[in-house]
Amino acid sequence: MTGPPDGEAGERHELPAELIHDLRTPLGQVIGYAELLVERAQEAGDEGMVPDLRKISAAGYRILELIESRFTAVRAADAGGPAAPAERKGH
Amino acid sequence: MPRILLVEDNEMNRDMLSRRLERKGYQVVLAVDGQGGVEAALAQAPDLVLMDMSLPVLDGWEATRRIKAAPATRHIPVIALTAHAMSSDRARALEAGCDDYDTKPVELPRLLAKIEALLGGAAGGTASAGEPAP
Repeated sequence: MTGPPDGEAGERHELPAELIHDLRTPLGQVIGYAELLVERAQEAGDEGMVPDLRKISAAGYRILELIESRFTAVRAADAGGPAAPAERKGH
Repeated sequence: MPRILLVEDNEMNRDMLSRRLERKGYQVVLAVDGQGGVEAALAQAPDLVLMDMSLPVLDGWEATRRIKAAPATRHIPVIALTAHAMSSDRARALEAGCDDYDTKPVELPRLLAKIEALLGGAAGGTASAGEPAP
């Protein structure tokens, strides 16, 4: 039986590129502010906060991985038909 | 202290990234649209520009073209930053004259490495690429 493998490396779904852009923007803010807070906590000697803050950024990166592994960005101009290979997200 | 012009219309992105860069020892000047970015590149003479591409007034591609077309600013390295991650976005940024390209969410060590490569190894402040500030 042929077809995409199961699991995270399996079938990819197409999403409008603008939607992926709109998801990545606040995700970047979650990750970025969490990492900023890690730095500030370390400077303040509040090491107890660091593991929890790292969980926030790790969860953000996990969502990013899921977006990149499960979805292929397609331009609005390609809606209604398959995206040209050159317009698909790299790798 | 290297001066970076960050051209970014999203207030939270601007705040977050500028604070993280300042903590690494860079001086950061800000612009909130492409036209402001072109004007700031001329007036502030930054060592490097971080250019969001989806900008109001003048988008990042056109702003980069203007920076690279002006004799006074064409030498300034420009790194494109975008939450678009399609291969065509990278090609389009480089065609506009960007010297490098990075995607959002920003991975700071990766971005710092690109900044320092374009600045000729001039690290910002006391921190080296990828290392937290002491």
